[in-house]
This record gives sequence, C-alpha cells and structure tokens, in this order.
Amino acid sequence: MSFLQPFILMAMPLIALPVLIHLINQNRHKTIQWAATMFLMQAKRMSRGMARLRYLLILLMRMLAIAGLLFALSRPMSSGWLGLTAGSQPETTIIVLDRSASMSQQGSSTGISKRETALQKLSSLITNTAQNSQLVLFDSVSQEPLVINSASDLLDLPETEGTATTADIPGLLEKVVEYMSSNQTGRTDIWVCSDLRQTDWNPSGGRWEAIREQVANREGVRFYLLTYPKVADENVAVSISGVHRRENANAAELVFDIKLNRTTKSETPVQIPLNIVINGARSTLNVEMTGSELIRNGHTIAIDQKSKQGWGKVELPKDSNLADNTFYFVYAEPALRKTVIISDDKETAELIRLATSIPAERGLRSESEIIPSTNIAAIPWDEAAMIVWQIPIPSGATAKQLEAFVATGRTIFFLPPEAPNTNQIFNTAWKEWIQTAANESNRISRWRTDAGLLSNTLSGSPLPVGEIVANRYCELETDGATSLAQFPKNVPLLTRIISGQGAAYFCATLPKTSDSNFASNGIVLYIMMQRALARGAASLGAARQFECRLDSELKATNWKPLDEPSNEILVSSRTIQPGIYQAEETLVALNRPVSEDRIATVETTELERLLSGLDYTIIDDAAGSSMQLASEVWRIFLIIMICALLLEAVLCIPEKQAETKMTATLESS
Amino acid sequence: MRDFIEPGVVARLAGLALDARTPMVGSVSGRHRSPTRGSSLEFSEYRKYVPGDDLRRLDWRAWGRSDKYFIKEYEADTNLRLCLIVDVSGSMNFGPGGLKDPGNTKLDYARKLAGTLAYLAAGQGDAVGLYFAGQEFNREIPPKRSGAHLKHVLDELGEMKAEGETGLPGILHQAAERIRQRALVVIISDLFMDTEELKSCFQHLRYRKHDVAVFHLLEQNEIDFQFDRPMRFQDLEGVPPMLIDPTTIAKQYREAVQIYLEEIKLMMRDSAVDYRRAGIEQHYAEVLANFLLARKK
Repeated sequence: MSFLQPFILMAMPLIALPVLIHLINQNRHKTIQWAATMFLMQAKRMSRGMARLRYLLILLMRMLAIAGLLFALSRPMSSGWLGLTAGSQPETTIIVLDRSASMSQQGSSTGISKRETALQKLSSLITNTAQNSQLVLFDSVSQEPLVINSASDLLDLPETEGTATTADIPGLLEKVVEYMSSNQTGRTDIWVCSDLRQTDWNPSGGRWEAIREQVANREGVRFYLLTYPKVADENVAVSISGVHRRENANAAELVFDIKLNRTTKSETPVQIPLNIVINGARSTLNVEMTGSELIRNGHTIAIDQKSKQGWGKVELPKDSNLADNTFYFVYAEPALRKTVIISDDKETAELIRLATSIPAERGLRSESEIIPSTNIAAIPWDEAAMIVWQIPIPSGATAKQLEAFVATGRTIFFLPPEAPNTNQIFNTAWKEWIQTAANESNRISRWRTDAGLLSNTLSGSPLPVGEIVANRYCELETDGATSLAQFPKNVPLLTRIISGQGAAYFCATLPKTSDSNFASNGIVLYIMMQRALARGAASLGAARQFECRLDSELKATNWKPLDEPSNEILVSSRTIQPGIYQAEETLVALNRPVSEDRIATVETTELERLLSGLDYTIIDDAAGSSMQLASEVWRIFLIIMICALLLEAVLCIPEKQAETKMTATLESS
Repeated sequence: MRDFIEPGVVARLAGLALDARTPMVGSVSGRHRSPTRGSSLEFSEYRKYVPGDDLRRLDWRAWGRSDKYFIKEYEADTNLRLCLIVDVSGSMNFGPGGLKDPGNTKLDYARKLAGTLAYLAAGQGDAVGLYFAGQEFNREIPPKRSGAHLKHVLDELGEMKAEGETGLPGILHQAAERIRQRALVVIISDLFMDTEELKSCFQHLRYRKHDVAVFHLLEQNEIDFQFDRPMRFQDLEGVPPMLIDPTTIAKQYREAVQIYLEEIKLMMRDSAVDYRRAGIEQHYAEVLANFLLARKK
C-alpha cells in the first residue's frame, strides 16, 4: 500500500491520544469521602470481566477512529488485491510494451484495445503510486529504452502506438536486463504488458534461461505481468500469399492464395464479404467460412493485360481487431531468382543447384550459378537473390560485402566447409565436424513449425523434417541466432540471423548422401532452399513485399503512398504500419507478419515455468475492462473510523433505565 | 429544646403517640399494654377462682348467676422503655456534601430522629435510654423517666460524634443482653455490614422479646452512584482509599446495592423488625410521622 499524502502518517503517534487522555483523567481525579465502600469492593470484584473488556474496547475504538482518520487523510492507494503495490516506491519502473498487431484487439463494448487498456491502467497506477520513480519504456518495435518524464505521457507517445509488427518478448527482456545492469537501476518494477501470444513469447526458445539467471542475480527486481490472453470471440484475420501475374495469349490474371483465420471454431457457416481492391478498382468476394480457418489457393482475378505492375489489398468488415482486417499486396513481372553457389564441393553444389534452379511456380524464373572459391570476385552481387556459401567464412572486405548483401534484403545460406576456419560472420563461426552415431541423436528432434524455412505449409501440414538424419555435422558457435531446427541436446542444425531486411541461414550439415539424407528426402531440401530463395528474391524486382518492422535500410522517407490509409501514416512509422507505396520503380507492400494471426497463447503453467525463481505477479486483464490496478481506498478507512465511533458510542451509552429503578427503590421504601 | 429538636416537628407529631407493638413490662402505670393482668378499666377475661386469689377481685354477679366463683381480670397498662441505639461509626459522617457540609450528615439525621423520639416518649411518660454504637458501646444511658434524664439524653445526643469502624452487630448482641426488661429498641444506622451478621442480632433482640425498629439511613448517591469521572474514594471507616473510574463499575455497583437492599428487606421481615428505610434527603418529620402512624393501635 502506498500513500498520496504520506507525511500525514507522521501524525500516527496521535493514535495514543485516547490513552493519554485516559491517563490524564485518572490523574485529575477528585477525592470523595465515601461510606458505602463495601459496594465499591463488590463492584470491583464483579467488574473484572466484561466491564473491563468494555472499557478496553472503548479505548481501542477511539484509537481506531483516530487511525482511520489519519489513514483516510493520507489517501492510501491499493490494488484490487490490496497490497499489490506494497512496499516502498521502486527507484525505476520499466514498462515492457508489446506493440504487436494482436495487441490492437478491442474490447467488445468499449472499443478500447488491449494496448490502450494496459497503458491507461499503468499511467493511472504510476501517477498515483510511483511518482518519484524513474520511468523507462521498452517497446517491442524499437527495443530501445526511452526515459519518460511523466506517466501521463504514456498515452500520447508515438512509441506506444499500435503497430502491425510482431514482438520479441525474450529479446525485449534481454534488453531490459542489459539496461538494468548498465544503469544500476536499484529497486526495479518491470511491468510487462502483453497478450501472451506464443509467437511473441517463444517459450521454447533458449533465451529464457539466461534471462531468468540474470534477473535472479539482481536484488529488488519484481515482475508484474499485465496480461491480456483472452481472444475476442468473433475476430477474422486475412492474409494473402503467392501473388503473381499470369498471362496467356488472350488475357492476364492475378493469382493469389487467400487465408482467413477465425478465433472461434464454430462449425456454423458464416458468410464473409471480402473487399478486393486492385489498382483502386474495388470488387467483393463472398466466402463461406466454417471452422477456424479458410484457405483458398489460386484465386484468380482478371486484370488488364497491359498492367504489368500494380498493387492491391484485401479488406474484411470491421471486427474486434482492425489491425488484421487488411492485407496489401503488390505484383509485377517476377524478377529472376538467381542463386550463386560458392562451393568447391561438386556434389553439394550440384544438389543445391538442382534445388534452387527449378522454380516452385509456373511463371517464375530461376537460375543458379556455381562459383569456386578461387573466383569469388566474379560473384554478381546485384543480380543474386541468394548466395549459398560453402567455403570457409571470409573476413575483411568479402565479409563486409556479404553483410551488406543481407542488409539489402537478400539471403545468404551458409553450409559448412570441409575445413572450417575461426572467422566469424553474423556472430557465428564454424567449429569442428562431428561424426554422429547411428541412433536417435542424429535425427532432428525439434524444429519451428510456425515460422522460418521449415514451417508448416499454408494448409497447416508439417514438412517431413523429422525424417532428416545427419551422419555428421559441423558444430556452430553462435550468439543471438534463432534456432529453426536442432538435434537432441539443443545441438543446432539450422539457425537464422536477421540483419537489415535480409536473413542469413546456417545449416550444420551438407545435403550430400555421405553427410545426410537431405538429398534422398528431397522435399525438405527443396522447400527449404526455395523458401530461402523466395525471401531473398522478394527484395528484387519491381514488387516487394515486406513484413512490418522498424528498419532504417528501407529508406521509407522517399516512398510515395498509393492509397488513403497509407497516406495518413507518419513517415517515421511507415515501416511499422501496413501500407502500400511506390519507391521509384518499385512497388512496396507492408503487412503484419502472418504469425500475428495465430491465437495460441502461453499457458499459465508455461508462464510460471518461464519465470520460475523470479519475483513476479500475474494480473489477468481484458481489453477495455474497468478493473483498476490501484485505486484510492480512503473511503474504507473513513468507514472504519465511522464504525469505530459508532461502536464507541454504543459502548458508552449509560444504563438509564437501571438508575431510575434504583432511585424509585429508595423513594418507595 | 436543643437545636436538633424542632418545635414545629414536635408540635406536629405530638398528636401521634409512640406505641409499642408488643406488651411492655413497666414499673409504673402507663399507656402501654402489659403482659400481666392489672387493675385498669380495660376488661380482659374471666378465670376460675383458685384458693389464694384476692377475694376483692371475685365477680359477685357471676357467682349469683352461675353459683360458681370467677375472678374478673383487667388489662394492666404500664410505661414503655425506649432504648435508642445510634450507630456512631465513621460511615455515619457521610452526607450529600461530605465532611465539608456539617449538619446534613447521616449522623445529624440520626440525631434529629433520636432526639425527637426521645422527646415524644418522655412526653408520654415513657423511660428513655440511649446507646452509642461505635466499635463498642461508646456511651450507655439506661432508660429512665425523669425530666433531668431526658435532658441528659439530649445533651449526649447533642455532643454525639461519629468515628472509627462499626461494631454494630456485637453491640446489638450486647444490648439484647443488657436491656433486661422488654423495651422498644430503636436502631438508627446505615447498616453497611454483612446482612447475615445483622440477622442474628435482630433475632437475638426479638428472642429477648424486645420490640425492634430500625431506621436505615441512606443517601441517594449511595444507591445511584452517579459519577462520570475517575474518583478517589476515601473510606470513612479506615479502609485504604481506592482510585476508581466509576463508569467501569457503575453497573456492578448498582447491582450489588440492589441485592443488598433486597436482602435487608427480607431479613427484616423474617425477623419481625419494624424496618424503615430513610433517605437523608427526606425530612425526618415525615419519616417519623410514617413510623408513628404505622404503630398506632
């Protein structure tokens, strides 16, 4: 409990006033000559029980009344659980804000989103209870600390607005821990506001243990998880993929896959009108949806044969989350998907060439080129969508070229060389080759099915990754990489590092038959390489599709908005909000990551496991709820005071009836 | 006349005789019934003549009618012995104004009651005795009938002082033994003592065939106990003082007083004592008038 006027508590010794008055009164006694002493002695003997207790109760009630008054005047604050904010004010209050698209989900009746609800409550709580505490905001977009002067600013800051990004909560907490260490924040309260989406929390990731350890080593750190796990009953999210233009001799059409995700699993058919806008022309497609998911692959819409490049969007009617109701797309003549394979291992290079040169879809053009290590100067940096690097990690200028290549949005796929060196790139280095025994230890035990190169297909079917067996692998030493697949005992097989707009992948084994069964399996290798290539190719060509995230490499300031909603977005927020833009000769579409449409949340038991050993409190809240984290409770103390005074008055009532009877006794005799 | 005997009160009560409820044994003729047969004008009964009877008391007319010898007997009227026993323990100094208000204490009230009764008794020719009951007999004046004796009694009443603890139960036992002939024993006291002890005293007095009357003197505040702040109660009979917050014990005090008064009342009734509870705020003339009227034959 904390107090808005704590200095009034200094008057607490006044509680002793009734006792003092009692003692003074006793000393101010009058002496009286008395004859009926025998009755006094009898009465004293009789009054040792209830009468004495009654008198003590009167004193206690008087003390309680004073205490109640003082407490009421000091304006105590309390949470709904009375004591949540117990203890002294923290020196630092850190707010970890999940600004992901799913946090924009609104309350059914209030129209206030989860993020806004959390901010309002935190603002009120901190204003009332921790005014002298330093306030630091870590938002999931920038992941940088922002010192805030006043808690009331929380509601107006651009850094707290909703975005169409995803959140990396463990990454954010790592930044928080780093901040606490470097700034010696002292007693710190960390408020984590999130909807507990599994995609944001990644509970199976390996970073939680380190976070736990580092926080547990610090004293005075307390977590408050202000969570919004409840998913709105009737929310539908739309996403589009595989957009490409198809043309025959007579006509042209746009082909794309539509996916709808619904939060309920009701089997009752629901008609959903999809508003499809292509180059400003609007049409409506009514789809009937049952269950929680609808996928319509290869949906076609006729377009002008002359229209080689364009943009569009698919819109849903308003529901509880506006952030997932629109999905933008762009199309253009597909760029050449060129893969450059740098390898001295002919078998490996050939397998990769096969997997990358056959296009996944009709209309796409793919090309692969093998370059030996002695000729890396011949790498066509500007044309390549992906580089497969199967020679020792370079250093110096070549390494910088590789990093710049990834930053522009393209992909590098590293495969282990026969003789690894000690060089590092993207904080990763190859170590030694390990020969595996023919048992379960060489089989992939875990892989990410929600995102990455090995994720499930659009229809939700998993890839046969579990069938992959490696006879040998090269150890990886990495820092900050996301593991996409691993052998037992957390030995990484495939990792990803995001840098700029692109990604670097490290695969610990080779596809050739002596090392693994990637080649004989075929499917996994092909899909893995095609996905990596598609990601790299997305940054080439005249139509580019990006997931929203803070990225200075995109140079969004020069973009020209193509529709009204995009025009209203601040230039600084363009990469974190969905929109459609023209960037010189290129069209750019920005959308929320489709992982935001997955409604699976971290269960309480899982959350407890993640935070085990830490001092934390979980507060389940709902969007738009009126529950207060802390409120003034002076009324309770005022009521206590009034009750105490009433009780005191009752205890003090003299027994009038008995006195009258006594008097009458004497007169009648 | 002394200042504690008000002529107005005496004049008002003069018409009311002090009567005994039981036959008295006196030495001279008076207005009170005697247990022996005498020669008054009041016929009592006939009885058979036995040799040795005085022939002058033979009823000749009855002999003439029945040819039997009857002796005609008459009531004997005699005088009364009024024995006034006044409690002079320290507690009798209590009054509404405490020690600072002389003239209004229980002792003063007792003085007026006893003096007026003595005066009235002497006026109708009865013998008056006076006993002061402190820890022991402080003063003992046996009943006599003379005017000089009344003066002596009144002098003693005038100089009467209260102090020390009470020894009333023991004194009443002694009085029962010392007052040999039947008498009207009037006890004036606040009776602040154990009721069981008192009971035996009254039974003893009654056993000795005395007509016993008690004036129980109380002050209203001793019953109501109306105090609202802590007081230091200084006992008038030597018990160490007590610092008490009356609000904490008032209820119990009143209960104790109520029980005590009930016990006294029952005990007096059982012992056939003429019990008069008197608040010292009442005028003593009223108390005496009620007392005398109730005893009227």
